[in-house]
Amino acid sequence: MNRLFAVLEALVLSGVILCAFLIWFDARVSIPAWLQVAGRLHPLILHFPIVFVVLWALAEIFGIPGLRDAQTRDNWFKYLRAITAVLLVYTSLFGLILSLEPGYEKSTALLRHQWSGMALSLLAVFVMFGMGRLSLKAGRIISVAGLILVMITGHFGAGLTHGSQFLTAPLQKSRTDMSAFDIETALVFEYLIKPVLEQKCISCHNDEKIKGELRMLTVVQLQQGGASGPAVVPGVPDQSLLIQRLHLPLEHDEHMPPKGKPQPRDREIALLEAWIKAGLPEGKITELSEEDPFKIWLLEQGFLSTAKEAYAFKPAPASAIQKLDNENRVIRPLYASSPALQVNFFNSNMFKGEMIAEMKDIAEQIVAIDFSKMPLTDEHVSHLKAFKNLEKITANFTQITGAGLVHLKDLEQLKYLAVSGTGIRLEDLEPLKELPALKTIYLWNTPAASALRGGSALSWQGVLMETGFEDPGDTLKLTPPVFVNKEVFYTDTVELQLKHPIPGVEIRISSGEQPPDSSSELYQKGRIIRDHQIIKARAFKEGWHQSDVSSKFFINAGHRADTIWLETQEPDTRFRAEGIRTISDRFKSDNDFLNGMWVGYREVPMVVVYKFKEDIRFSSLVIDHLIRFGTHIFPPEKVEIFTGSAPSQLSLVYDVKPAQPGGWGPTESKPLILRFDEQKAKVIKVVIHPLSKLPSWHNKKGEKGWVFVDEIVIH
Amino acid sequence: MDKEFLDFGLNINRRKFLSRLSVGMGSVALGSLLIPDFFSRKGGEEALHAGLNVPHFAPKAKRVIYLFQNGAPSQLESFDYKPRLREMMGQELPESIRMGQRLTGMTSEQASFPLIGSYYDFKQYGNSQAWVSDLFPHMAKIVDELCIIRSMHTEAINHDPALTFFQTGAQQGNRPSMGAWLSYGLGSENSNLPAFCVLLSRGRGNGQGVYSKLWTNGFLDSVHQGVQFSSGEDPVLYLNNPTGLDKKLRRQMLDKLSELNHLTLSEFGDPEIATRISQYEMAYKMQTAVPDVTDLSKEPDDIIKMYGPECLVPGSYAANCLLARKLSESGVRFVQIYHQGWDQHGNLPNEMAGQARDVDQASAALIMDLKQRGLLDETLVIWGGEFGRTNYCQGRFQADNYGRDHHPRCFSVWMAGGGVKPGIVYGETDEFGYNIVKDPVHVHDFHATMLHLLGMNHERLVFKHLGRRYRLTDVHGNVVNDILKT
Repeated sequence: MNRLFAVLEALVLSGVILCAFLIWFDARVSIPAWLQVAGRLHPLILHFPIVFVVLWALAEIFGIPGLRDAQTRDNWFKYLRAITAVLLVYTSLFGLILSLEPGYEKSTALLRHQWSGMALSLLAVFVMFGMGRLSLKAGRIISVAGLILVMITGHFGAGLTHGSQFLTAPLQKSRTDMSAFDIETALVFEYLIKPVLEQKCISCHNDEKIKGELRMLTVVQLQQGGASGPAVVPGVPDQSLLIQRLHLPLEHDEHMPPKGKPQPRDREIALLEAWIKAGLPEGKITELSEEDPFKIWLLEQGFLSTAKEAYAFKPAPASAIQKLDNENRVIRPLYASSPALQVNFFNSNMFKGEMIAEMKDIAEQIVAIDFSKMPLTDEHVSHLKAFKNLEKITANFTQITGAGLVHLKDLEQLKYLAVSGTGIRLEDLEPLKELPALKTIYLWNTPAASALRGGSALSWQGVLMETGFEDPGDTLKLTPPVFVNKEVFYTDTVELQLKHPIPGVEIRISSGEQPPDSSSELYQKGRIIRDHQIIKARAFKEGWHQSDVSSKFFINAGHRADTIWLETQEPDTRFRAEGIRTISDRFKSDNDFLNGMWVGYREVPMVVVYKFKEDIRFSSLVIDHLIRFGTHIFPPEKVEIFTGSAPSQLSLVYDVKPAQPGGWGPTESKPLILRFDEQKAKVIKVVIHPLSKLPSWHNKKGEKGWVFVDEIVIH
Repeated sequence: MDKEFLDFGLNINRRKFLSRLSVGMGSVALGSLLIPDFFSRKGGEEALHAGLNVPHFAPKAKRVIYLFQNGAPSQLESFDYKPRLREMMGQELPESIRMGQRLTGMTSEQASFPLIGSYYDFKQYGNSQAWVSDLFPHMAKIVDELCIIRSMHTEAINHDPALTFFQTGAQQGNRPSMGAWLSYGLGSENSNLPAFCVLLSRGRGNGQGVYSKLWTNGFLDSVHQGVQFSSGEDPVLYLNNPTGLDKKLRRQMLDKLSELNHLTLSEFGDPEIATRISQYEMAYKMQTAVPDVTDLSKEPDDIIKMYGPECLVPGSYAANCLLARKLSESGVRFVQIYHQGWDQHGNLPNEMAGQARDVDQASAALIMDLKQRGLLDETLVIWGGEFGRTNYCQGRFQADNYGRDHHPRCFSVWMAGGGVKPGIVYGETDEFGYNIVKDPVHVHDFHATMLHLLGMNHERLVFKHLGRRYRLTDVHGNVVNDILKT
């Protein structure tokens, strides 16, 4: 054990000697590269002695729990003190090596850190060699002194790496807080230039850490420069080291900020260049002269705005705004801190003229007001006279006329007036001619716009008359009318409901094979349908081409049987759907044959029997079926109807072979409407035969076809 | 069930619990760690979560209409003119251009990457002399209103992540979308309509789906979610009162229901209940506002001629453009249109012509329509997809029938109105249309710029969730100052 202690003693002594050597010869020593690595370990290993000093102090004050035997305790203390001393001495040594690297000029902060660190180390060395002879009380006092020295040294050291303001920065008001910034008092350097330097340069070039002997905190310091010369040359960015270093390739040794550190954006470099080029202007931003090249540059680049930021008037009292603001009259400031207000009216049925007059208390602050589509009359407009600061009035599609515009003739701030879709004529604009701020009048869809297009000129200097879309004169085709009725099947009667989105359109209808033309029946509300019908409809309007035809089936759902059953079952179970329910649910399926709403037959005919309690009269039968050639789904080959008074005594009363298609066509569902002489019966049997042989034009000619049925109606 | 309620109650009471616990110095410090506004007077975080409802600074635009071209239209057949590709038709994409950059699984196995020029010709238009392909004759006519950005780039290479990234600023799909952020930041102008509406349409081209996660509120309150309008005859379903229930009765019913919901809210404190209460109110208000907005009968014939008669067909892109204008005019902050069908991996010349026909006239009409009403200055209109398409051919090489794969390294979008410089072309790609050589605009930059135009600092529009403050631009984004009107 004593041997180990001897080694520690030797280490400490050699460390102290090396430290003394470095302090004595200082900058005259040159540090080899491998030792520089050791120096750079300083910020890492410094944490070990901190821990050991704290442990040592705790042990001195509270003792080491569990150690009663004095001999053991002394031994523990001996080694604890020795290790603490070794760590402290070598951390100091590494720190001294680091301080000799370029970039760590001997600033006050560095010297404070150095000497407090040395004091701490020497204290520990003293304790290591002399503590055995000290009293318990003295030991405690010395260890507390060590603890305080650790804090002081640590604080100075942290100041070197993080900056002296690091610790207290969160307590100080943040400078980047935009809301606290006031353009009126902002200084050029402090507000525009320094923030860039602060983010990218000042962490190494400040009063504590003066790399390259350069400080960058003030304009004067920049001009004084560092080891290589002035950082900025007023008026000549190309010769300013600051700019040169920024533009060197990133890999270059002299590039600043060094590789790996955050680099300034192009825009920030451009800002610095413009500032140097303009000769380092100082003072308040607002006091830069209009000719100052830097100010012009700032405006061009959008750093400053030419827009009148502040309005001369005071904000309206919040209570007055709150009282008036509601869902029909929305009042908002232009932005968070702006005194100017904008007003938007919504919900035309809630609009009243008084709603304008009510705003008289905040009239001064209102700069924009939107009445679009409100029933605004000239009388309402007369209230706007009091709104002296109005810059934009939007009154599209209102009832405003020339008599209303007269009331606006004293609104000296008015820049934009939108009266599209009103009856405003060219001569109505005359009273506004003298408005000094007027920029644009929006006149689309007004008599004034037509007059302007027709060649009438208005010689108003600097006012744009926006006439909007001009009808190129080509005739367009109308879209087909839309059936409002959604159901195909109805009971008794149904009212035909058709609509078209374009006002003034005539809808003409026909119910046969012929599409409607301009002489066909004119659709009118209340048109009743009683029978099975296909209605075709077409839209007509002056100045437009007639539309394509839209069409729709209407099927009278007819009689509901008391009992229905299927006498046959298709062997292929996939297409049985819900059988009877499917064909009598009066629900029109879509054209997807796999959706489970179609009943399909191929191997056997479909046989449906209807039984009624009383005799019924009927003269038509409708079978809604599917056509889908690709999957062999065709119209039925033959339909037979048998009637009688009981299922066992039926006789054929009607049969028909529907026409088969002559070639490929799209998938569609179609009602097959069969009409015949009126019949009377209690029991009706319908037999639907699928196509026995696909026609010759089909690629599977000769095979059996399918018949798919959605609905059967007896009427 | 009871256990879950209990857990939930404990959860929401954690803050209260900790703030009551603050007796000793240590717990005060702990409390202020967990509740940053503990010492502040106004309860900054609460104010933060309530949204702003007012812009940070003077806005250029009040509203946005986003014409999203879903599936990624080819920039090489629309706005990024590359004659070199025609000259080098069929030659291999030089490795010095591609630089080993990743490809999708759809073409990475291809043996060769032959360059292919646009099947369609380009011409210069307007005072800005911007190049526009023959596929977009109407947009070409209004090119002096547009700011065409040819240097957009994104991070994702497949549709879903790219779409999600564009809409939410993150690829994973758990963040609020642009419209939700806007609703949160600016609030609704017209309380009778949602602040964020979504309209869908579909072209005949090869399509990619859209999902409701693209208009999600993410971790923001559910009231900020986009309201999807139906593509059918009635944009909003079930607006009418059921038979036998008049307006007064409905009001009474809603009032009672609201009382009950408030009771439940006070018991469980679930914010979703508060949302539900406000959604019932919104639905009631929409009963009057929506028919007003969707009624076309008051539109002059000129309008139908501008947008094209297609605008009368419900659910078409043109109809949605017209509806978007009407919604925007009525104070909807963000109208998000999706037109699907722009994913031309093959059959590009043919399919893209169809897609262009769908959108060209109506997109241009929307700009003109806003302009003639004096609304273009306050409405930002954006047109574009989620990424670009490759300069080389996907699949069989044929000069008149080819495909292009996904390309996130450059694509074109345009903006109009709302404080954007009109009649400019921003950014540049190399002569192969593969890499950006000047003024790149990342999706985050695009978001930052959009928020800036709306008067919001993208670094200050934040919401605290799961212990950190989130932004639409995450920790990125620079405003593209060069395209802002001064």
